Amino acid sequence: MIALRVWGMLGLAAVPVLVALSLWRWRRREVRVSSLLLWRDVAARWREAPKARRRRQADPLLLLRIAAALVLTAGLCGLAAMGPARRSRRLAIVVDRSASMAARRPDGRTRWEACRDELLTLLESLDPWDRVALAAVPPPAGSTLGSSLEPAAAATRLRSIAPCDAAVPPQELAAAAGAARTAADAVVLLATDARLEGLPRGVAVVAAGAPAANRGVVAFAAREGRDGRHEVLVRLANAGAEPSAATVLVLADGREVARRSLELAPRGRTEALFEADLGPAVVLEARLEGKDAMAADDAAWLARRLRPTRIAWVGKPNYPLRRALAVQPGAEVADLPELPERAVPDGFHLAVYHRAVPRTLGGGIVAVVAPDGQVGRLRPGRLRAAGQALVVAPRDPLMAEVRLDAVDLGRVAPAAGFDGFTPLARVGAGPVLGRWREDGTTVVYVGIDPEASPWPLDPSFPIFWANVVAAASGDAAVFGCIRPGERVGAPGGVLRPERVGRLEMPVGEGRRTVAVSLLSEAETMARGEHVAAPPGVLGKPLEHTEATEAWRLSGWMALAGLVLVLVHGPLAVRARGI
Amino acid sequence: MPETKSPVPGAAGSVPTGLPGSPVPAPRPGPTRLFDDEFLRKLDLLHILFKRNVRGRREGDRPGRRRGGRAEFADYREYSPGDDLRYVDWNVYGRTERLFIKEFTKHEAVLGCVLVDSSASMGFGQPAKFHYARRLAAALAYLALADGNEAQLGAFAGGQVAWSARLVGKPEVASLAAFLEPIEAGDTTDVLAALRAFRERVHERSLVILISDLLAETDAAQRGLRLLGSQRFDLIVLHVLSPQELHPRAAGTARLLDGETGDAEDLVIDETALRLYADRLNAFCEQWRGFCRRHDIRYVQASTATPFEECVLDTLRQGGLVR
Repeated sequence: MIALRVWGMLGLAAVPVLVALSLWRWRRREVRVSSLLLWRDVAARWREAPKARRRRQADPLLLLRIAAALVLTAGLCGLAAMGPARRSRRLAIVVDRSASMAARRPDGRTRWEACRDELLTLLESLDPWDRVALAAVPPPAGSTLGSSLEPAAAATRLRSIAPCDAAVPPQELAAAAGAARTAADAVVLLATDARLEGLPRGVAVVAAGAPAANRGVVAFAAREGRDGRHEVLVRLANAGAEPSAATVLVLADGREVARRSLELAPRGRTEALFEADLGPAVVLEARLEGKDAMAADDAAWLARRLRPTRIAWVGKPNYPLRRALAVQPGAEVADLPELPERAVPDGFHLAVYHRAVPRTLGGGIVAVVAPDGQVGRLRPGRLRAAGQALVVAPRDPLMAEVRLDAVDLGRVAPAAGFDGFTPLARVGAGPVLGRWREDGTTVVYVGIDPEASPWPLDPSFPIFWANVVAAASGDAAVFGCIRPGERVGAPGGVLRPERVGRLEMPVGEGRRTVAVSLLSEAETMARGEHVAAPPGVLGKPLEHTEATEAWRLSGWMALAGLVLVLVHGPLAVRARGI
Repeated sequence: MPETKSPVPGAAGSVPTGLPGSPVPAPRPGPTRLFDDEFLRKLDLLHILFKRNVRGRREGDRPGRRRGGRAEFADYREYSPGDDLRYVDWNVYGRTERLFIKEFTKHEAVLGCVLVDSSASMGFGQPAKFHYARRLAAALAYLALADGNEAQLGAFAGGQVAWSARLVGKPEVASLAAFLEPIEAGDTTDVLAALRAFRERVHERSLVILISDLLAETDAAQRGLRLLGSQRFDLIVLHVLSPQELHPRAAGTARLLDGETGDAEDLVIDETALRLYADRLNAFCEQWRGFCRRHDIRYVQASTATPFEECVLDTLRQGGLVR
């Protein structure tokens, strides 16, 4: 219609322009002739003629021009108006390829197959000059669907689409439909089983779902529990309208480590918490026994990974010690500008205090480097004499492979100690290395100045700090969530992508927020009521013959206008004047 | 549109050789802008036709009606006292005992005088009528020279005539060009004055070719021609018109300006006006054609739209000017 208006405006605007040009051309002009001898009689007869006769007669050329402009305009307007009716009802089909579209309906077809059949029927009803844009969410790898397809070609490509194992958030579907509506300027059909609200105008949903007796794992998490055992959380959901029983298995590297039977209410959810010894397993799997409408959500996986050991540095800088910490594998050292509230701040595995002491304890491992012993209640004693150190607790994990026989520590602290203090190395009678536990915090005491002593030059120095870091990072190794898009090898093949979320998980007697793998609950619970294209979504098309005749008439009119313009040319040249 | 305006031919400084009484200097043979050699060769095949018994002042190649000379026998006549006894045919006397005088045809060199209208109106048209007329004048003068006659050119405008010298012989073609090329159209048309000037200058009965658009006072021009015709001059009128005059086109509301006088006429030139003009032009041409027919003057109308060669080789031949 915009084109129609543009053509119409141009055509109508041409008429006054033509008249103006004609008047301009016929303005009074001075024409020099060789002699007025012959013209005088003509002028005399013209002056004698009646006034009406002396008015300029209608210019046939002007009339011809106006007629050409009007006919050409009418023809082009007709073409513009008929063009859309003849050429294109434009239709955009957006297909939801999420895992739930593979759910099997009671009639034996999957949701996608039922939806596809309905869309194919719709495509068959289109005219050959209609155009179809095809899009899928997520887009199929390695194939192009096309944006301006004939209905037959669109049907062929539609048959090549198949659901994948991905979860597609409803927002993505709505966004894709809106984009198709904008880009293709078309009626958009969205084939999905998701429940969508607030769709853009012009987007119609082919609800492909059907009530399905489907159960699925919708959340899966694991973490280290007490006594080296792991706690595993599995959340199940039942999309069916009937109560259901499900048996869930937990497998570590394919080895069954736990099993439990659960009752699921109609469209309800339940959780199961397992305690299991996972050992060195890398991949943890939760699997539902039995078959249901959709297989994609019947299993979920977790992968064990090492998180980086995060070390907080508090106090004055000390290059040898800082370097010894930084070179530890997987270690990240971060400076804290001031004393933290807790000895080991949240998110850190180890806190190193150099010439400083924590305000409070409360958990974690703290290394206090206090060469002069002036560290408050933590002081074992003042250093005052030099001499070689002696490891006194060689079986302690912190002193594994640490040899101090050849190290002259320079200064020696006097013998001192308090309850719970375990000396790890002594110089003379004074401890230079030790540890104790207080308020749930393991404190490692280092009474040596790394800058002033030759200890950093000895191999025992990095070995000792490696032991400290290793002791602190014991909590870092967990079963983490598989990040979306991450491909993890598993006994059953490549794991499907998942989403990551936060979930309150029972830990001991309390609950704690943990990261979990969230399989799309929307996929598991997706359902639809019917499969049918919304009636009248494409509007009433012109009948073929009607459209063709109108198109043909407009074409003839445009051609006639063009011929008039062409004929006008030579006539205009002939009438150019004296 | 007119050519560049210029002073009257013959005025000081405009035509260096055309002032009355100032003969053209000696010609210099060579190519001219008016003709090329190819066209001259075609002209050599043509001869100018004389309709009346014109006379020349000196001997030439054209056999005249007068008796005299020794070249070509014409007739016998009986001896009259006083006849030259050298022309008595004694053989006839021996057979008949009567005296007969042998008469011979006298060959004369007749003057062909070409009067070209160089008024401002001749400067109009595409191509310009004056350029066309100038070439026609040169071609006809050359034909006169080629037949052993004399030729003289005159360009007239505003009551004055610029004359060339009387030329004899084909080599004088360069003089023709030298006379005609500098002339430019300007001033008003006065055919009568030109004919009077011609009559004052030329006294023998000669061929007079008037080349003009005749867009002047018709009565005066015809009076001059009648005068010459009554004195048994052989007259030819070459009426030159441009296609813009023969077939003007509509121009809407216009103020027509006379190219010679500057007079103005307001008019709507539409189809009706063009039809009136066509009627007027036909009447004008028919009047001239009738006048010439009545006074034994050859009249040929030429359009400058006609290629020049075609005009000389066909139109003039069909008009009985050349053969």
